[in-house]
Amino acid sequence: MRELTKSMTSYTWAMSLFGFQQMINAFHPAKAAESFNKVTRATEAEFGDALKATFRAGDNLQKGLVDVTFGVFTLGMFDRSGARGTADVARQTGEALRQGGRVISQTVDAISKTVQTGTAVVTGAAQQTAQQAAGWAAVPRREPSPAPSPQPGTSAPASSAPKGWGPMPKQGSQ
Amino acid sequence: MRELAKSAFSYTWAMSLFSVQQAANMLALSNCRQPGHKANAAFFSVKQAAETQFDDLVFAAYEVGDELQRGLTNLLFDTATLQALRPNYISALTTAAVDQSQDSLSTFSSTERARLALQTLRNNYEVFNLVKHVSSLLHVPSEGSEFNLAQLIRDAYALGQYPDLWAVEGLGHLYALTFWNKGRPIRGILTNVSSDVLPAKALTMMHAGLGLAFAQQLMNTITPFSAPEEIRAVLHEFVSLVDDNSRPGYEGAAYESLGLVTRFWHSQMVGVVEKHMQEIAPHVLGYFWHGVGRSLYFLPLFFVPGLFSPWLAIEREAPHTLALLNMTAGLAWATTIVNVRQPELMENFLRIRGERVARNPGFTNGLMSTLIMGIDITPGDVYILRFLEYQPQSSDPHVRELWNTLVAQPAKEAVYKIHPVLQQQERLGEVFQYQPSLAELAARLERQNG
Repeated sequence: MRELTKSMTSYTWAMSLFGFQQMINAFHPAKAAESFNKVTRATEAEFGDALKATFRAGDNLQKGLVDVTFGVFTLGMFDRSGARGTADVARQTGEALRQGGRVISQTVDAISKTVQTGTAVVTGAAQQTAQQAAGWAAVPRREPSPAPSPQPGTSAPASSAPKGWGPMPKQGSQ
Repeated sequence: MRELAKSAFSYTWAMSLFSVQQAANMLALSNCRQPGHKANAAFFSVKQAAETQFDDLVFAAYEVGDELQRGLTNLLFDTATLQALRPNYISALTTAAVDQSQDSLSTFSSTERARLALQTLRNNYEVFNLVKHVSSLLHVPSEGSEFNLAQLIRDAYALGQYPDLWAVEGLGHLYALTFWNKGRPIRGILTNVSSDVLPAKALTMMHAGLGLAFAQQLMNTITPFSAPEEIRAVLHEFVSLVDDNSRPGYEGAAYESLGLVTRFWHSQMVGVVEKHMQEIAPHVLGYFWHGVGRSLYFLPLFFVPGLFSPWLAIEREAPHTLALLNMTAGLAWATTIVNVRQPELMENFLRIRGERVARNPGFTNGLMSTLIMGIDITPGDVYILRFLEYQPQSSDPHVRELWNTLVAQPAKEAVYKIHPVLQQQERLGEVFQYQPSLAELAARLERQNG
């Protein structure tokens, strides 16, 4: 808990200073963008699969929207290639909307996966606690072997998971 | 501008999702033995990525703030768990506060002392700039262009006595990086170079620079939360790289840089590196702790004299005697060589802390070692020779006595007696760690090699 508190405070402090640093970098937009990208990449690397998909979908959507917005504000459609510009904006908008749809479905997937994961973790932990209370704490998770089921309160052979206890949670697998 | 907007939105989106991920990581009970491990690791990685984007001043602010928050968090938890109410805890805390206050008051207790503190700050800043701008000072060619080592070493020495030392170290760093960027295997960086190109006098700090380059590159690949086998593999690679690229007798100069890099940029890794190094290469540990001590001198927290004392920090941070002796030697090393041009700064230091450092043999050892290194890299260095002949201005006999026993006599012995032996035996790497007696080391080497 102590280490977690330090990590959180350290992270918060670093991020505050990163914001300050980026204000200074605002005079060098290329450098600022590169810094944002590096931190974003490092953050993305910490995501699970579901959140990674959600991030990418949302990221594509926002990039499309930014392109559309900049297209409009820079009056790209009024130059000689205006028709092409308009078509681009329309295409980008369509793409953005399609991606929006994908985002929604991926987000739903992500949420359901997270919920499933959470449920499995909580259920597994509850089972483990119950088993530990019944004298099963020393049971390593291995493939079943034909050894007889032990009596509660005695030390158990490695693989004698009895029927009715459900699957044993794997440590470090979540 | 468009790209910046996209990057900023991506970043904001990533940060929003990161909080969701961290909430999940904290709730996950997947590893009951190390609760919060995954969340800690994720915080660390993202924080480190942000840290690498900081400019010097922002990095300094981060380091200072981070050190303070860690201390405060510890105090908070110790209070919550009632540890802080134990008499020895209160006593240690009070002593630390009193020591620090005394140190700060002594530093600014008179106009003269404040002037000396300002001079120390100027020296620190000068060295910081020399190290930071070595590439532009020496016009080091960009990546891919030919690296004319012989010419660059001549240019480094042309900067004059004192800057040459830092320039050669920086050159060693940049030279090693050119090999690193070419890819593996990396062998013979400093062994396959003739003496026409790389003179013997440049060897110590070229090795220190080489170690710095390897340590910086490798330490960026691990975190305190990396798997133990991954950490061991990285440390093993560091030791192998140093062994494969250093001249026999100079490896110590390169090993030492690992401690400097670890404490300066990856302070949470110090204990982790020590633990694994004990299994992989225990002979490197002394050098490692020496580097940790040397880095304290340059840490932003201790950069301004009188605010926080690195000497007090050593006593708090050193986990055992080997670390304490080597850290003291490393810090004495940096203190001496950075301020060697103004011996009155060392005299003032003895006036304030002499009594305390006299109890730790690491101090005199570090002072002797740095002068050996200094006179080796700049033969006949006028600043070092002046330092040896300096007579304390103070009329206080105690200060004069401290100067003679802790500084003057050992310094002369180091420069005139020990250095020639180590130079002849090509074992100058030995001075990069604490030695119980440098005189005995020199005598032993002479006996061994006739």
